[in-house]
Amino acid sequence: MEPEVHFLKHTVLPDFLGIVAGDHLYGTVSNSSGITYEKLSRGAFGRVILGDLPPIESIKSFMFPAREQVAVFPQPDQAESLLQKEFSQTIAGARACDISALGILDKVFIDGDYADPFYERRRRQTVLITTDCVKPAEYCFCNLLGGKPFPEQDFDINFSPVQDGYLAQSGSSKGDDIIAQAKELLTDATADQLEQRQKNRQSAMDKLKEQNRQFEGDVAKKGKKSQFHLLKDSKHNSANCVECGACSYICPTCHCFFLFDQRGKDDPEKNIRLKTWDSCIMANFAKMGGEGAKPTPRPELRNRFENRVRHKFEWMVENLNVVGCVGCGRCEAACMGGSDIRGFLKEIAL
Amino acid sequence: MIKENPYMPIEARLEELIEETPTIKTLVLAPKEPIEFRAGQFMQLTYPGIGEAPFTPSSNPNQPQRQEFTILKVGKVTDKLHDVRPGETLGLRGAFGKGYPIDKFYGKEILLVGGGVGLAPLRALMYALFNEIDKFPRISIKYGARSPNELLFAGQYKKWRSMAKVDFTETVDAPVNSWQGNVGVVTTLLDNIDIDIKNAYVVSCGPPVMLKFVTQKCLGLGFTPSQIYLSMNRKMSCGIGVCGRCNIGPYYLCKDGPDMCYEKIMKYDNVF
Repeated sequence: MEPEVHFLKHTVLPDFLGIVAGDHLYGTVSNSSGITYEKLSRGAFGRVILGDLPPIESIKSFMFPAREQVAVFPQPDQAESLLQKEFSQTIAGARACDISALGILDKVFIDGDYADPFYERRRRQTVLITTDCVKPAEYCFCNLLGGKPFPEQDFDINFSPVQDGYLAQSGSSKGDDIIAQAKELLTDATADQLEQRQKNRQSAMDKLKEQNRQFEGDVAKKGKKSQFHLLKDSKHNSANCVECGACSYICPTCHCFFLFDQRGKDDPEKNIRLKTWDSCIMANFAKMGGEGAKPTPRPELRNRFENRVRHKFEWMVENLNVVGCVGCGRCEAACMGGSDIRGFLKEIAL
Repeated sequence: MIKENPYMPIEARLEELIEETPTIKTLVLAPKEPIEFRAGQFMQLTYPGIGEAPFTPSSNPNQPQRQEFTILKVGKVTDKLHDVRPGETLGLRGAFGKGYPIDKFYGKEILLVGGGVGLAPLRALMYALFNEIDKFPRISIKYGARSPNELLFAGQYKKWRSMAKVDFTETVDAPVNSWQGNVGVVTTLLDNIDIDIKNAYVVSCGPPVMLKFVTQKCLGLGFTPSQIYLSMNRKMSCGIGVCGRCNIGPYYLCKDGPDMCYEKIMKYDNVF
């Protein structure tokens, strides 16, 4: 059966979001940085922009925050309560690449030998409102990794911009409930509107194909067998890297972290463990205690660069049967050294 | 046992602090809940508010109520761990990792090569092998330390040497005048070794540079890479294969190791 598609007038989007989110949500807005997420209270839901350029950041931090308290020691009752606190969030504006990236993070944080209860709780208690990429950015290359500029699954509600409003479609039972609650605001999508959506989607796909034509190499399928040894002599190597870590932090699938212990600010007897983002590109990332006898196992920047790339394109395929890149291109956009992951991938793909 | 929150340690009280050498101490810990471990598995030991570091217990794996951790003072966490007093509370997470593949060793001669504090994890393995000594034709232990006063567990050598099917030989790099024993790095003990190489496994634990030379030596003696098990050294944090830190190629030492068959890791750069 074809999924039901509804039309929502632009002017009532804030009302719709109010039904979904209640008092606040994280939504994509346009501000001095560009398109980015802000925490909005109900009165500001009108600022949410859907379908425009992709937001600067992915939605990783909503599931895996840059810093999160994961233990209080030695007070186990408090640590348990960290997980029992009531929690829910609504995110509006996520893209297809972000959703694919969550699928990868799920494999890391939920499907392994031990589930990360902090990630899992956030993941389960989130309402995900996604939108089509009507205007892919020049750094986008999801099509090279089998992606599309619009979500097809794993969202609650997806919005596709059309004349005067959006086409709304549910992608989950949570989404079905929302549609039912918002019935008054919705009308059935017309054939014209559906055609408009199709045209917009095709034009975004054409743009992606056009801008990535020179990089085609089917990396997704061949990643595992690629010639990673070429990296050492590649012109797309780490020569311009300044080890800022931006590529890792902005990446929707980079999941490295460090468990950082500190004494409580107010109570020195209270010891707090934070799970904090880390980046394998940093010199000290894997440095061991002691001098000389146990040096860092990836001493040179090129070793760490190679580790990062092979982890995504070779080892995640071996371990999790998934390529650890969704082609969002944010690493290229964020890199001050002009890293060129697409060029590199084309060069190594067999 | 792993709690629902894998980042939360179990409280463990320090029962006893044993000064082994000028740089190495053994912490005898009693966790609030028993912790099962297999020889070679490791635990994350927390010094509250400062941090945690991974250690393989040096005690007999058949004692879940009480573990011994033999620790060299090298950095921020181990400095603190050397100053703990009996009665204080530390934290333990784990046990993590695969442990030594003891089933695979049945019927084989076992050559253990240790360096410095690397004898600590090997002692847990020795206890495990001794627990089933009838399953092994021979256990040969070669151990090297920097100097005579850095020889770890020196009080036990006599007992180990007296056991049937077990031999133990130690050497030091830098002797003092009163030293009557072997002098030289641990690989010198592997010259002219009397072992049925075709029917043996090597297990080695020590600093990376030692592991490198032990591996080269053993390959030279005719061992294949698949007969060599190495306790690899990497920084660890999560212990459960997600924080991305301790990998050698696709293998996370915290999950797939920390003891790795050399055959699996030999093709990757910067192994040692």
